[in-house]
Amino acid sequence: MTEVFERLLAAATGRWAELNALPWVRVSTGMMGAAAGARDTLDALRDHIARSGIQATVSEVGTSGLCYAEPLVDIVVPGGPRVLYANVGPETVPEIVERHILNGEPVVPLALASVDADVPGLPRREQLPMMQHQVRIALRNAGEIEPADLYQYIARGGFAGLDKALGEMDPQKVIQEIKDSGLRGRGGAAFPTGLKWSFLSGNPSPVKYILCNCEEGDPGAFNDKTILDADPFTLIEGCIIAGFAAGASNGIVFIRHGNDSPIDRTRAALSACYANGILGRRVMGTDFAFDIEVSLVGESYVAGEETALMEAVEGKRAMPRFRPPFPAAYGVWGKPSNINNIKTISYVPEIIRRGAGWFAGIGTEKSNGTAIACLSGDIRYPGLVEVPFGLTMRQIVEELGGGDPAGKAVKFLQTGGPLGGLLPASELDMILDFDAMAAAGAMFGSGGLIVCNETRSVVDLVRNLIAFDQMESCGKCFPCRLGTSHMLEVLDRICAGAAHEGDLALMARIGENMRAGSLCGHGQLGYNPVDSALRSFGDEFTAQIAGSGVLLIEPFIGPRVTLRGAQADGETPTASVKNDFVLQLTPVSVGAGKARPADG
Amino acid sequence: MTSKPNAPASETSEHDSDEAREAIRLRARRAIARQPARTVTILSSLLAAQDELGWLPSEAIAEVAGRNSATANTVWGIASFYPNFRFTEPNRHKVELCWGPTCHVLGAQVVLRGLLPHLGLAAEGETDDGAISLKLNTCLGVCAHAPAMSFDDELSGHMDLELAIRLVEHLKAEDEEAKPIRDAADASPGAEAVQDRAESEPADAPSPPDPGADETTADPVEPTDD
Repeated sequence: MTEVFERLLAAATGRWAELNALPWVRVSTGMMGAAAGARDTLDALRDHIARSGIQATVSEVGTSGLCYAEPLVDIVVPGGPRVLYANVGPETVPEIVERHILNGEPVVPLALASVDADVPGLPRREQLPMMQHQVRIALRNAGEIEPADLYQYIARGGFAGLDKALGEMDPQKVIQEIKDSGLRGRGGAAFPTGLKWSFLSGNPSPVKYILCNCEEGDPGAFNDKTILDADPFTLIEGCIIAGFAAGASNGIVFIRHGNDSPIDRTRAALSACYANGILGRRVMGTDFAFDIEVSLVGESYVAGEETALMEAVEGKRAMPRFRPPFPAAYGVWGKPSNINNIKTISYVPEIIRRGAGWFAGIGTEKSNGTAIACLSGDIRYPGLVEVPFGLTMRQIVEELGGGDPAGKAVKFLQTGGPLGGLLPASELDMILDFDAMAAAGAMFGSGGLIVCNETRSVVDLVRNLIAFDQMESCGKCFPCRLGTSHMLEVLDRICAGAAHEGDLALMARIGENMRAGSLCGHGQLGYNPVDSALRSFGDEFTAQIAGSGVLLIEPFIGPRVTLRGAQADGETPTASVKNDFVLQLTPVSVGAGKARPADG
Repeated sequence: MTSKPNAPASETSEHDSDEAREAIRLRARRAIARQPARTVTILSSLLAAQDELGWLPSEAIAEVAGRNSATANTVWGIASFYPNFRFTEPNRHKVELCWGPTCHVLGAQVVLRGLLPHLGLAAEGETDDGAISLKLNTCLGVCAHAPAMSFDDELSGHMDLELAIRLVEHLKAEDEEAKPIRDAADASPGAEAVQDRAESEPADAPSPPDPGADETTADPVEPTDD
């Protein structure tokens, strides 16, 4: 054990004991909680506890994944059971504070479940429908600890993996361990992570980058930002281990601008690491030097593509590059780089700490470990679940998600993000497995599962997805730029009941051109939603075209910015604002303060 | 009824005053210099400037270009790629509505169809009363609480039309309540002096600003919190 870690562990253990010596109230704030009104609950709790004169710790934590129960308040009083309260508004706060915190008796009628103890009249947390089958690895700390509190993370086993890697292993051994664990990329492509790292490891460049991708523009997926919102240290630890294994010098956490809480929490966690010798010139007191910083990007879905991401890190338009050269040879600022999804990296600390064999024992033969699914749409229990591979979609939707809240039949799932497809209810018995799903033409992608019941129109949803693809096309490859616009036009007239003959064939031709003529997945997969919808719900399209559609489709109001780089009303910013500006342009000295990384 | 590609004439003239321009330039420069990330790029500088100003006037573009040794054209090229940047002054409050598939399925369009006439808009854009800038967002990231909206960057889930209208009206009411306080605050120089000039006019005279109002509102003095 390194000296630094020994000292941190001792301090963390002491702090954890201190924390548990007082009543501890955890409120799920962050993005998810805030959207459910948790800020008001938090204010009420703080106010009421202060007025009652009770000594208690009130912590802001990230979402536990039980989003349907938010605002979720988690209370433990020393010597008493830990109890979760669901949907706590400011109005129920006084009763909970007085009865549970002050008198130590859980308020059963308002409670959701108990944790690690039995309370008469309450289920245990693991007995909740949404918690069954769950195995929590990447989400192990979600909702349990304060996201940016280093000691709480360490007290729950954090940084033991990094300590083991630095103290007992060498980089090659770490890579071998990851290869043995069978960890595959969670961003959609499912590429073996150990193999990816070994590409970077073989490059002798002194400056190499590990990029952690939290662009997460996928509508329907919210697991990456949730990890940063709930437990940024697990990503940081994984990133340092990846850096050590691949001999990298810098890590960059790439986050979409907006929704400040995951960004703030990640930055605070990074500061804590620097202050405690976990990052910097001597990581944990060893000779390994590693830096991590947060890089923000504007709204762009394509920025999640690995080469476009590198352009955005460099501060340019997020447009994909030609490959080869591949990022492992020529990445950010021309340096060797390795791009990993947030979820992938978040598994690494536990794999190192508990061993490859443990991880490989979870899941199916070739899809090891767990998948993090985001449930939303027509579902009783929306939120995040982390389940081992091998479960069926039906189990996830019906057992964990509870099916449609009104008991209507599930019609289809939209999976794999806006470039993914529709999975009809008849295929719900499909097993969660990278290869099985790919073979069946389905995509798990980044984990978004949007459930739609029998009252939803396939044609309408597909138009929404194509409108997204059209707006997010970066414009570099014309088959994608023009193809998505053309497809949207066709879908618009189908929805309006003014379809032309041969429109479906026309879309297929456009899709074929996009597939053949686009640099990145955005264009290559852009026809996917239409294609998969036609395969399973072709009747609905033909009925709509024939004017006998049974489901009403309302006109769609979309964003006004229709093409990247062009402002509303076809007026480009350069044309409208630049004219008065050029006259004032003063020459700038070239060379000074040139954009490049601090250490590059 | 549609949103305005350019700010109203009165605001433009205020914005064009040398003092106001200089104040904006200063704020942009400070925001760009104070970025927490060690790696400074054109994009990171643009985000910092817009976070500070709420939009990107040409002064901000010039500052970003100067800081990054780039031409104005290069900076415009990058800024115009990302739809979160805007080149006209926003109204006082930013309201965003998510049109991602989950929100779409659960009724975002119903909210939007009702909210647009309530705001007097035909599409996303600025209301005539200077209160609300409405923007459609591709995904606000809280699909579990769909349909989602955000009001001055505060997320709000499980939206329906009635709640959306109530929250919009709440934002407008904040302006009314805040008026006397802000008027008093404007007696001493503050960071909000430029940004909130529209509100700093006397409450009983909401019509075109008179030249006299400009002097208090365009005060370029910055808070010295660094």
